[in-house]
Amino acid sequence: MTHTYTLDQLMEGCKAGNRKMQELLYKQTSAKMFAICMRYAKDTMEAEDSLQLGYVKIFQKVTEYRGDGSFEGWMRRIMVNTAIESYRKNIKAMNVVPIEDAHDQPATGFDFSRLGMQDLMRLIQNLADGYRMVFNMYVIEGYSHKEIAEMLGISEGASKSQLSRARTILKQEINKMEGTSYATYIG
Amino acid sequence: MQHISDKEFDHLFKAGLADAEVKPPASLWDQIEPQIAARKKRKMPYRWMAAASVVVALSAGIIFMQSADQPNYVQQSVKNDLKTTSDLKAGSEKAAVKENAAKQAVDADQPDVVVKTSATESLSAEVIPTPLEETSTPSVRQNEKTLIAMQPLAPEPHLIHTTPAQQAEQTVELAVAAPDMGTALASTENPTATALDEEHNAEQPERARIRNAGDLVNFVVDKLDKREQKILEFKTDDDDNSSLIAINIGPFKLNQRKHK
Repeated sequence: MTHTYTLDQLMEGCKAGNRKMQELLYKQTSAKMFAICMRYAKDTMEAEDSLQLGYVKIFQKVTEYRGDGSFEGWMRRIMVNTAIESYRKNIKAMNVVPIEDAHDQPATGFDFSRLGMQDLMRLIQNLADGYRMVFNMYVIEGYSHKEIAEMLGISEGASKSQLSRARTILKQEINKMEGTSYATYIG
Repeated sequence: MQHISDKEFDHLFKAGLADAEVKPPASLWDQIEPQIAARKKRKMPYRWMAAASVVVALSAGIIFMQSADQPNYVQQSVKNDLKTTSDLKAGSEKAAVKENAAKQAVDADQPDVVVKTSATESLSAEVIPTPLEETSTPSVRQNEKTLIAMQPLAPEPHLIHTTPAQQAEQTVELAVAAPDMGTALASTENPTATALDEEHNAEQPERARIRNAGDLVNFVVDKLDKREQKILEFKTDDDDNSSLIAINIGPFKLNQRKHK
């Protein structure tokens, strides 16, 4: 096995433009970064594009990283911003978010711990574009509605209502999963 | 679990996905790598071009003006030039260091017009190897030679004979660079060639167009910098006392008058 480097060592190597260190940084972090891209993208192809663009930016801008906050956090922000840019570019083609007919019903009687990462990922990926963006940014990344409104170019109210709709749809989908997975037991 | 609050619901997703990992296809790195390499290369020449232009333009201007006055001030002018250059742009540091080397070469030589020639010579020789774009290199070099060719004192026979190797090299380089240049510059090849033969008449038409250092620098900059606001612009109305009126080095801009 080759010597393993800490993220900070890799970061310094990338600052110096060391090709080997760039590759190692990619190998060590790309799975986490790709998960981010997958959450934001509408399909795997878009996620792959975002990942590429994001890493090119990371290597270009690494010299600007001043050590405020963790390097991984810095990388994540670049990835998220890249994914959002990609979304904003694509949105021009389809600016109307389809409103799905969803009734707000609480998720009941379902053991959430049964939901694995892949289930959660699939649930988010199946959300319509606007909902997916707002839900990701608010719930996973922790942006405020004000920040989301600025970044997506929508109003704060729209951000709030889209988040609420996203939750409703997700709960509905989870209930559906509950129905299929427990069907045999409940009879 | 009968009811779940929004907070709990959000936490469920956050906990499950914040540190999620999904392996990207193995081929992706192969697509990223060339993009990093390509962008780096594109960035460098522009910076060096700017640095080199400043060095060439300033030294050309000062040396040319000095030659109109007292030739003995050459050493001092190179020194001034060194100072101004490093003040102007940190990026030209490397070039400036090399310039320093050129200056020492001047010190070693006799303080004559020949020194000027050799100073300019080594200056241009040092500046050129920086990664300028291939197309721009000949024009910088060519014009540096033009300057030398136009120096009133340069064609004097005894001076030329003291540096035959340099002159020979000049001619060769001119011959190589000439095909890339327009017709206007093609004619500047003649002065140097004829200077060797101690005939000056071919210089005359070129002098009418480029009368002073300012004109020359404007010409060089025009070749290198296609933007509307050039990196350097000289006012050339006042014959021998050309003055710098406009600079445009990215964020740093100076313009003393409206562009023509």
